[in-house]
Amino acid sequence: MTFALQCCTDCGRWQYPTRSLCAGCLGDLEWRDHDGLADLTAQTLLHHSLEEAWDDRLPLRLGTARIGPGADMLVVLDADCPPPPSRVRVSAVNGIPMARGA
Amino acid sequence: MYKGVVLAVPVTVPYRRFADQDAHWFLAMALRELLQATGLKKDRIDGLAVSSFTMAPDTAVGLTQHLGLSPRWLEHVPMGGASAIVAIRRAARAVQAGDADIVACIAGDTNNPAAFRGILRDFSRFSREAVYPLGAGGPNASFALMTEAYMRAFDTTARDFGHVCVQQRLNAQTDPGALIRKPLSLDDYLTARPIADPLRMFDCVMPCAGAEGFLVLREEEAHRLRLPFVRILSTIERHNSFPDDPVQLRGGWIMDRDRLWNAASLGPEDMDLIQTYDDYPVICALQVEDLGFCPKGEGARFLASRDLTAGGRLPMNTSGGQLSYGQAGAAGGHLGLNEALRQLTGQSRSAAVPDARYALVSGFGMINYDRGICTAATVLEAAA
Repeated sequence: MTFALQCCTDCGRWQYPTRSLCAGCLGDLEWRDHDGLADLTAQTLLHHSLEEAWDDRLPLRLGTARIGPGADMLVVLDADCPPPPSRVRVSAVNGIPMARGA
Repeated sequence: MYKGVVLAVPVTVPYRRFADQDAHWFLAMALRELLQATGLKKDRIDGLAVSSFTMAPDTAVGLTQHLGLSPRWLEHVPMGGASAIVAIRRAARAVQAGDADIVACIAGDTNNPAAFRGILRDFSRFSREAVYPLGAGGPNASFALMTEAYMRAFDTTARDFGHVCVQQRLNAQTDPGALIRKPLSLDDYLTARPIADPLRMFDCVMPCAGAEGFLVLREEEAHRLRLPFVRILSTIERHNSFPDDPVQLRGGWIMDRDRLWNAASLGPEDMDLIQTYDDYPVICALQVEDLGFCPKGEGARFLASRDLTAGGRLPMNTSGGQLSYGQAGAAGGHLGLNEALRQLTGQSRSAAVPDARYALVSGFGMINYDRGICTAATVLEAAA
């Protein structure tokens, strides 16, 4: 499974969140398929949300997954995703990045 | 460094959990308090620096018309908890160069549940795209991730962080301005409702409404007006430090601390009190590490080993800090600055730090995406 992320056409650096130009070298960006492999570097279990729409999904497991230098994704973690530090695979589910064990 | 330029007149518009009035009212009240405390007429204020999150669609520009001010120098400082120190840096140079004579630095916000959600949802382009849609956890979620990574990296316990919260609450009990003054035990802290693991309720600052203000002016003007004042020995600021760090375990202070201490000809050990930015205890740990009070990774344990009350070895956030006062939006950093001004001029409403001569004030702001990207600090000296 792959999903699209911005990548610099000059230096090859992945970007997240979306940029206008490369955050490394200010080169041009294009959307490329990424294999979703990332390093989970932090996690939390969210017990409280500011939006009622999320209440029935609490507690919600969130984490930070590193795609590459300077490109860290806030992700929803699958229940069986191993705790950090660990290797995970990120995919987009209804536009929300989700991670599970790689 | 800022020879002849001083800080004076710390004023606070009383904090409230929620308010019907808008940010403009709180900012206007801060200015009114500054005029009442000094006897100055409004037209003597010829410089204005403003910080606020809830004054949209206005900026400092619109506020001048709202307040009926005609300043010849104007600054909007949208840097969250780093705003107070950045405002000092801008204003002190303006006064030094003669671009303004008396600068009012004001910050404030209103608070209600809908406004707070709105701020967080649209806090930044990155937040709108890549943070808020994932559960709307707000800063609690961001600081939870930082705290989790910090605890694992440096083998820190909840008890270490709890000490900061418990001691600051002791400080708050001496200060009538703090919204939360109820005694807090370490046991209360450790068994409180979980918010975002590992954070529990007393790790999380309470958003509120309120405002702060102070003046930047020449020393001779302060003498003329018979205002107690404080000298600025040095300042630093840094933005978007270490963008390639995976998780924020250090801040920009570490890049600039030598400049800060060298310019002041002082070191951490000389400080009689410190005011760290304290919306979550982990950030206090980062500040004492990165500003050189202890080695990297030792911040939480260092603070846990110190008496942080006014009579203690390292008085910190002596008003109770934001963790007891509440966070009045962009005035969060001004709270610590004003507490330092009060302590150094013998006007503290909280318990007084004996013989306070030197203070460090540190600021941190703007979780633009996954980390705070504005850091600042200043070393202040009481006028002998």
